[in-house]
Amino acid sequence: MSVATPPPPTAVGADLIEADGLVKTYRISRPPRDVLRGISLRVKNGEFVAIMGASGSGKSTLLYTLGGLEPPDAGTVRIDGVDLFSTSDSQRSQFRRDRIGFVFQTYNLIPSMTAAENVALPLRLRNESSLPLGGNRIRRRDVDDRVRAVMNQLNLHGLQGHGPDQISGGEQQRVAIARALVAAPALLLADEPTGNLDWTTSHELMSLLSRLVRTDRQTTVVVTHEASIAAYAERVLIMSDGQIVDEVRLSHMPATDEAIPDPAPLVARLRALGL
Amino acid sequence: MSGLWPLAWRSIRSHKLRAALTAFAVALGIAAVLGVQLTLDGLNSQAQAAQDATAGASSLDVRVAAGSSFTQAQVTGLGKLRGVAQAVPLYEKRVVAGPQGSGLQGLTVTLIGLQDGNVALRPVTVLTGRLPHRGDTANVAIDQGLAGALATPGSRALRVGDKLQMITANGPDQFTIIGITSDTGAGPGFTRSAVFADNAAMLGTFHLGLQTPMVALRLNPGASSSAVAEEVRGSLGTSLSAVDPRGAGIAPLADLRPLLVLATMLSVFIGAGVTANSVALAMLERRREIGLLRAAGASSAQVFRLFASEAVAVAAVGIPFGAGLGILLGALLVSHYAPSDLPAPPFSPGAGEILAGIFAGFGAAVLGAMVPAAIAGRTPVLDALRFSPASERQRVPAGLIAVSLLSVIAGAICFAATSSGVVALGVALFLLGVVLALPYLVPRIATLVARLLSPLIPTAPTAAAALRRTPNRTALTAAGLTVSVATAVAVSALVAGALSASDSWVANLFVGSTVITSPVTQRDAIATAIVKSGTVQMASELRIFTEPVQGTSVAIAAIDPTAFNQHGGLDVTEPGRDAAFAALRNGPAVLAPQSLETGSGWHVGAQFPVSTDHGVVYFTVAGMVSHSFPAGDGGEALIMGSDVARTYFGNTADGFDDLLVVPQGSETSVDRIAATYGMNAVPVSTIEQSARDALSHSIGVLLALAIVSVVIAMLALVNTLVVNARQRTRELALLRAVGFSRSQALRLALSEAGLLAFAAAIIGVAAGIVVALPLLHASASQGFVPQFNFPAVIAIVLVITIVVAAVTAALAPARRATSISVLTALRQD
Repeated sequence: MSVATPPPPTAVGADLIEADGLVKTYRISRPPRDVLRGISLRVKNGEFVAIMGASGSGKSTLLYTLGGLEPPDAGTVRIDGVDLFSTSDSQRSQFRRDRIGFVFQTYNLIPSMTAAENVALPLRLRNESSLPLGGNRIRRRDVDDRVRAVMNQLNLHGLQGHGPDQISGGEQQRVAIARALVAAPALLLADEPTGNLDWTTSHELMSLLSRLVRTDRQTTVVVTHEASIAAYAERVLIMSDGQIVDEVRLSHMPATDEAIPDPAPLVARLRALGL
Repeated sequence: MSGLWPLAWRSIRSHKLRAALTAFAVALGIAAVLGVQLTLDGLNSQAQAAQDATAGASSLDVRVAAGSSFTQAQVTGLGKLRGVAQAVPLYEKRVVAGPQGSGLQGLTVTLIGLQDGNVALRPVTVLTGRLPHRGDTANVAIDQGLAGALATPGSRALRVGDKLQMITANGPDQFTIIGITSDTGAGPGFTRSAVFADNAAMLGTFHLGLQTPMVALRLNPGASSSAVAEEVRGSLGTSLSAVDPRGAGIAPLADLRPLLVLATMLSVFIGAGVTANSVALAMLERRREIGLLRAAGASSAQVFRLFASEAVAVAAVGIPFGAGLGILLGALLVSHYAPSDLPAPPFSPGAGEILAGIFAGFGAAVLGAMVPAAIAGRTPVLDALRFSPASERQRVPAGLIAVSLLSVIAGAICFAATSSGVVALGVALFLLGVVLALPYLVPRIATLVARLLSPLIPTAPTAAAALRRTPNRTALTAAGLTVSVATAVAVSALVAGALSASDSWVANLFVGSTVITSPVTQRDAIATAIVKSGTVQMASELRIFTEPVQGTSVAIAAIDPTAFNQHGGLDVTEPGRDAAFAALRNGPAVLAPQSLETGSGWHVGAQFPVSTDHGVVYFTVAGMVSHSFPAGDGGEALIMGSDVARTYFGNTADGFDDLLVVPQGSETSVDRIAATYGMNAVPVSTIEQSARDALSHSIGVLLALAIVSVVIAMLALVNTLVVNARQRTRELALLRAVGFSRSQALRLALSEAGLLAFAAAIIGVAAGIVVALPLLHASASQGFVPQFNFPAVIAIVLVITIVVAAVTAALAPARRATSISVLTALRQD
């Protein structure tokens, strides 16, 4: 399928991510290290999945492979029916821009831009790559409206003109999430999004993501090594040594923003696995 | 670019120093191209104007072989040829002249005929008074140099209104001087000093022995000079020459042009390198931004455009400054190099020249920026996202050393070539090889130097370790500096070698220690009078005249072989001095300068026919000299014994132009006696210095351009040092956290700057020495063999200046990096 014209949205409950037989070996280390060993997984549209594992288990590599940033040595990744690694680099970039949002542990906001400008970046990239008179361009007013709406949704009202160095870590990460969501991606990928945040801010952030899934059916995959964070997800994939060694379905996804899920069942399962 | 342009703009604004230095480098590149271009154009215009003025209205000069003369019928015939509008003969005669009352005691001067105030269609520059009118047989104009030389001892120079006595068909006749002409103006240039009389006088009282050696032709509009020349040869035979006086190739600074182009291109390339370095640094500082943009969906092309647009914007700022500097530089160089005896050259930079300079400098800078911009676009996303300056550890591309070695070997092979073009290619290949080896060389040399310095500067080894961690960036920074230092050292060696060769030329040329020069050919009696005055121990006459030899005009220097054999002078290379000078005394023989050996095939024993007063005589090359006296046309003269010259060329070889003397007492007494006869006494050491000055004057611009390229390369170094200091803020804070003092941290940052600059400069010096050898070899010619002289002073000054400048440039950012609180610095990523 071509990525030039976005496919029709995947129906809620249908598979959004189809990954099969993913293999990845880092050969720059000696001896070469197998970080993904034949991983296959499915993530449904509107699902909230967490990937857990110890450091070096391959969870971040899996996330970046699902997002099209890290090509696997073998295997395929289909997002919304598009085989990511059978497309060119520029087509993959375009797909990421339009269909995938990334959130990183270190926020990665551009210091020379204000919060609003950081949020608007994916839309600017889309406009910059369109022909001057092309139909895909988004009018400036529409960009501003969309940025304002997303920032309001993430409680960032009033911070539009602030630079990254003028706001707190939690606010910076919310700006990063706003940036990931502004283009209405089909898939939100977050790599240790609470890694640099305190406990309170971490749970506020996870509540926010949880709400997005609950209210907007935003498909979300989060990588974390903390059970209390993974407990917000509906399903937790546990990785060890480049493989998914277990899968835990959690039925108690919080119904409100204030509710904090109990990580005890997940912790018990991890203990049972010896992790 | 609406989407990403703000990013580029903000990056420029937040790195003002880097942007300013880069723009300055681009400006200097543009200025170098424009300045040199405008200089060459200005000098070309001046030379062209001078040639046009010298040619006057003549389109074709027809000359007969020396000693012969055109007949009136031939002149008339030339005027009737197709395409010829006017044929004007040049009337010339050698007569004895002197001031009124001097009787027959005078100088033999050249008398030249005027037609309507022109000589063979050329105007004559009049300083005072006027030229004789048509039909005037009583008045003359004389050259200003001759006016001084004709004065009787102790009296003033002749001037307008004075009487001049010349030998005519009727005996000594008096003529009134009504004008003084310029000996260096846009006159006919047939002689450096002459008396001008109207053709009425030439064809009247001076008709006996009158020669017509040349006819100047003015052609009809549209007539081709080459076609008319063919007709002339068809009509009068091929023994005469027909030359377009404007046809000579004009190329001021011709010998220097290839090196000038090389040095200019170097400035442009190094300017491009600074831009490339600037973009590479921007890319390094914004690695995470690149990763984020790519993760957010920016394509490689978009990232490329982001960095490229930034480079274009910064380079564009350099355009107006570069254009202004270039015009200023051009004006200065034109005024510096324009010969003072020619009219000031017009200096009007055209839009085309300015655009070409801008295009070269700006275009090279933008092209240079494209490489790192393309690399930025292709940066792996995850590598960029995970990048941390503190953990940066660069790998030198595999196979680089092999390519470097191949390039050096290929360059060395080219060095052995005889063609200067191949040698230039060899120099380029060798320097490319050195640049490619810099990732290996600079860190190793820095480490070695750091080890040596560690007792004095304990932080040096740690600084060297930082350079080893980033060999590619270190090499990119050092590249421009190394190449520019190599060029400066090589050019300095070239200058030193040329000066030394020039010294050797002049030092071995003359007998005696002083040269008395005369504006006109003096009588032998004057030399005798000077010897009798007791002011000189020894005097030897030198007469230089021109004769046709094998179809070309060759200068002949008539000397006293005995004096030269006894007192030195002239470096005889074969056979021995005694044999060579004895041959000059004994018959029709010459000594030939080595410069004529290749071109004319003149070797010892060779014979060639010469038309003399006694018919055609075969002269033998009796010996070779390394150098001879300047011929006036850039070549060197044949050496002949003065008695032999007088025997075969009669009056032409009489007298002397220069008198080579050893003063008896003080130089002042020689000055005085020389002035008595309208001559100047010049010590040989002064002539040596003049030759050195003339050479330095020409080659100096090369050194200046090489220094400009060093300055441009320093800008890249400063850029990198600023980024290094900024990036290492956290590392320096860590060191302070574990016990380093602030001053120790500062010394660490400064020693890194010093080591990088020193390693780059020292490699440049070494490369410059290697490159200088083939360049000296290529610049050598027969008899002019510049020897390698290591320009130690220039090399030491360059290295010290570069190290001091680098440390000074690093001081401010290093202070900033070390003055920040440890906790604040540790929080930085």
